[in-house]
Amino acid sequence: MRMNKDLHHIDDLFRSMLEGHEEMPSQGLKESIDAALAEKEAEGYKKRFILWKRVALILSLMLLGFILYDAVIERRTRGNTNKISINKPETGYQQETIHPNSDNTHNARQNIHSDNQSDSLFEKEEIVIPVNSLPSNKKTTPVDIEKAFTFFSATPSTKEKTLSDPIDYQSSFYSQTHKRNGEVHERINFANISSVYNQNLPHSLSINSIILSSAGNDNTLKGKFNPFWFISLYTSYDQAGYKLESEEPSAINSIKFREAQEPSYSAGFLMGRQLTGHLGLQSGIIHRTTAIGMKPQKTYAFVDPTGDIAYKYITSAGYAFIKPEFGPQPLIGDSLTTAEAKHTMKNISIPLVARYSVGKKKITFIPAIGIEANFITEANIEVDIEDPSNHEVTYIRKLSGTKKFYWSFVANAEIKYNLSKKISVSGGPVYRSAISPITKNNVVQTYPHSIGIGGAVTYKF
Amino acid sequence: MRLSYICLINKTGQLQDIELLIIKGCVSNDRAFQTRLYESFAPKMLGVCLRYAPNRQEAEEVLQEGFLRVFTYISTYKGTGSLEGWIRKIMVNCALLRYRNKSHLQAIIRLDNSGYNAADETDIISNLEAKELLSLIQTLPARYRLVFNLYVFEGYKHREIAQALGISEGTSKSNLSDARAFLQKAMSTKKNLVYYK
Repeated sequence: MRMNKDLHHIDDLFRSMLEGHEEMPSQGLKESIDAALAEKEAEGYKKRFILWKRVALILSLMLLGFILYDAVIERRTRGNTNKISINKPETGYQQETIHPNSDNTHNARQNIHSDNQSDSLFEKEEIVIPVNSLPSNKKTTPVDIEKAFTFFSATPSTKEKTLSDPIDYQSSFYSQTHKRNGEVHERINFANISSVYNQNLPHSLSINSIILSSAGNDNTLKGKFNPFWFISLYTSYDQAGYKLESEEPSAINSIKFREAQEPSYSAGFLMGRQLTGHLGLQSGIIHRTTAIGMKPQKTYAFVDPTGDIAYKYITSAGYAFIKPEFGPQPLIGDSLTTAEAKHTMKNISIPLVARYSVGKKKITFIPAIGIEANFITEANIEVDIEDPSNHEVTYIRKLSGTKKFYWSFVANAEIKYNLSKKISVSGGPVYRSAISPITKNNVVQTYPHSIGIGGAVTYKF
Repeated sequence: MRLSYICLINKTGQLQDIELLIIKGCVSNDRAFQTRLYESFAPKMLGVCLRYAPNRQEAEEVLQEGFLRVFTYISTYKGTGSLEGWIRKIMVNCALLRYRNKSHLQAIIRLDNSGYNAADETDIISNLEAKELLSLIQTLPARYRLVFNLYVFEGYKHREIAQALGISEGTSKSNLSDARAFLQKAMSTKKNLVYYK
């Protein structure tokens, strides 16, 4: 029993002796922790921006895919064939089929077959001709080819060129449009077409009718797109931030700690051209204002570029030398604690973006990516300096260490609503990220980025 | 150039809560504030880690891992308990993670306490420094050390110890009993050595 009591008593003895026991860690331990933290932070930064990189990559790939898809569809449509059906007047004709011509120079395929079992007086023969083999010098009016068919006599016209070689037959016809019963039809007139077919068809076959039809939807023939210009009044509300790079991690942390980004605003006008049904280019001019609130900080005196000694005030966008009117002239190494400050940066941006429009009628979805050339027009700072007996507000219009120009990547996705044929409104998220720093010779290299909501009113010419 | 931004006085001249300021600074990954936090708590936490580790080197490794976690997750500290308690809990968890698995590999020593006479422990303690007691704990097998620390210093119940270490409550009780006996015997040996000297 005593043994158990003693054993329990040992707990109190150890607790009383060791509960508050302290020992100083080795000197290098904090440095090891700092190094490990810096490594973790570096990994964190990589992970943080890898998300944006992935988003940008996905958007780029999507846009590329759309462009390729659009190009492929356009090419296919351009290669669609019109079937020209030839009626023959006789029945009981001996079946004869001419297979598609393998001669590349012929630039056309012929597939002629007939059915001698048919009782029809007019049996169709088909000649399949690529649409792009139609004469290009003729005016091509949008025609609903699938519905349009024209019967005409295949009597050779002496006014037209007479073919000596069937290979050239595609140049022997031309098209013209006319309206019948309110519908637009395309009339195809063959010149000496019998001379073409006489070499391929049995002599007893005469052509007296042609049906022209389309195998697919062809923009070149149906609803041909007319490029147009448009102009937009644009504004956006952005939440700005920045990526800092420096050889001194402490400088990055200190700037991030004392600076708080405030919302920024953009406004301007954009002009663009819709090149195809889907693709368009847009550019313009945008004015942007970004504000940053600064917490109180301790500044130290350095020799400024003019040779005077002044307090160096460092921001993410550059630095400034402050010389208070009050107090004695500072010496190198002196410090001055500033109160809160406000840093404002204004720039003019010229974007160039590729837009891809998806949708019809009233609502269109338009993702876009591009680049912006940014010209920093103003980088000022307003800082309160005070000591127990003095208060002074210093306004510095131009920061040192700030570049005049930087590039940025821009991506947005807007939804456009057509109010009328000419006017539309649009809105959607917009993301901008600098791809070159806005600072030079500063303790940090700053890459601003922002994400926000933009809106525009667009007028189509 | 390195800037100092520790400013304890705000614009209105009022003294801000220093601990809160340090926490905010650490949340912002400010090295200066992290150093302040480290300097404030590292000696105490090393004392904790030394009890869980078999030697000082490993204790410092646990301490380093613990502070890394503290700085990484300090944004999750809600201020409901004391900051010291929160940091201490992290250190203990780091030690548990480190030694919990290793403890399975170590032989459990069954002690024979029949010949031990704990006559005057006060004399024994008075003759032993804290560091010597610490070294006694460090000589315990890992499992015994963990159970003893959790029960005696952290105030865990056997059920909680069993959950933390993945053992049964009975094993926890047995390990604690063995640890106590081991320490008593070791203290006795120390006492004899002291008297001998």
